[in-house]
Amino acid sequence: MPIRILFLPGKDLQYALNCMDIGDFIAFSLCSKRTRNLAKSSNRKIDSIIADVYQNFTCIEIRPSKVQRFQSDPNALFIYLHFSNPWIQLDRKNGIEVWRKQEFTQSDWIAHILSIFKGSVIEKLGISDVCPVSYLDNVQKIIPKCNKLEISEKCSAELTKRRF
Amino acid sequence: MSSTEQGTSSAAPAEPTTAPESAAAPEVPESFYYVHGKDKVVHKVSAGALQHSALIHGMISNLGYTEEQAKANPFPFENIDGDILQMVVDWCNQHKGKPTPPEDTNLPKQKEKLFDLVLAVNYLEIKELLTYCCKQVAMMVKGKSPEEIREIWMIPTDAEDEAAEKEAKKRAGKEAAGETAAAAGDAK
Repeated sequence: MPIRILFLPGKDLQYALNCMDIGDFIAFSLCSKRTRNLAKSSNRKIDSIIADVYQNFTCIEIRPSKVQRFQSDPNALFIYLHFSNPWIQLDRKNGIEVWRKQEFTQSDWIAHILSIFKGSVIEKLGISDVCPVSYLDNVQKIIPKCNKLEISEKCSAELTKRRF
Repeated sequence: MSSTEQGTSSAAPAEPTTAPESAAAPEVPESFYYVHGKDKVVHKVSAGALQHSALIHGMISNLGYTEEQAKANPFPFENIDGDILQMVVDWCNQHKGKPTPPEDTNLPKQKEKLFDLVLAVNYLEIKELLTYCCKQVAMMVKGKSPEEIREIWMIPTDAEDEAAEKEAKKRAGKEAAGETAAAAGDAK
């Protein structure tokens, strides 16, 4: 039998959210606007978000906070955004899952993730040598800001000279 | 608070539920208090076990009851189901004077009971038990997708939330209009 989680006292609900691992927390935030706002207001902390761009997809690695006391899973979560698809794929140790959200583009996925982990930014954006130059516009669109840009030494001169 | 209001009903056992004896008997005789829930079944609980509850502990500190007075006046928790209060009392007895372990596997597995337990424990202000319960609530959706979480936790969709909000606004508007009309009637 289901329970009405949103009927729990606010403090208890926030505590329950803090006990969730990152994947479950993101899943909760995607349920509705209300759950997204609850996730935002929980001030959930993470260690960092790293993005790596490959041939036709971007891999987002979300590393959990080392000081988060309650969460059940201390491992990083990997999310994959394919350039040609609006959905995301996740690896949560029980096979690859596909999550879709109506009208969500790749930019929306990134913006959503950044918004629920308060004050978070992409710590490092890595461009691998297999990333086609033609995809860079797309990358720039979905990840407009990052603290550190790392371009593989094997990347072409054209890609390396490209201004980010 | 009269004993007739708070005393055991016909549903109550002849003798209140007794707390398990601790292995090392304290030198000073331990004081006991009595609590009952919605079902009026009275539970006898030691002061040591009740220390887990900040609410009851506060009530005891303020009342300064003798054991006789406490027996005649059980603390009434009419908002808590009898079986839930029994769980809380059992937990307090089991963890009396002991450091709380990092995991507690004795919590109810039924989701609806867990929800009631969270509400009761929150009301009684039992911090450690609340921690376990909230963790258990979080574990209910471990590895689930957003759709599955919405179903398990009965989360309304955006459309349902909007409809409920409209309905609430409409009701508030009607109530305000009713109050205005009543005030105008009084003025006449």
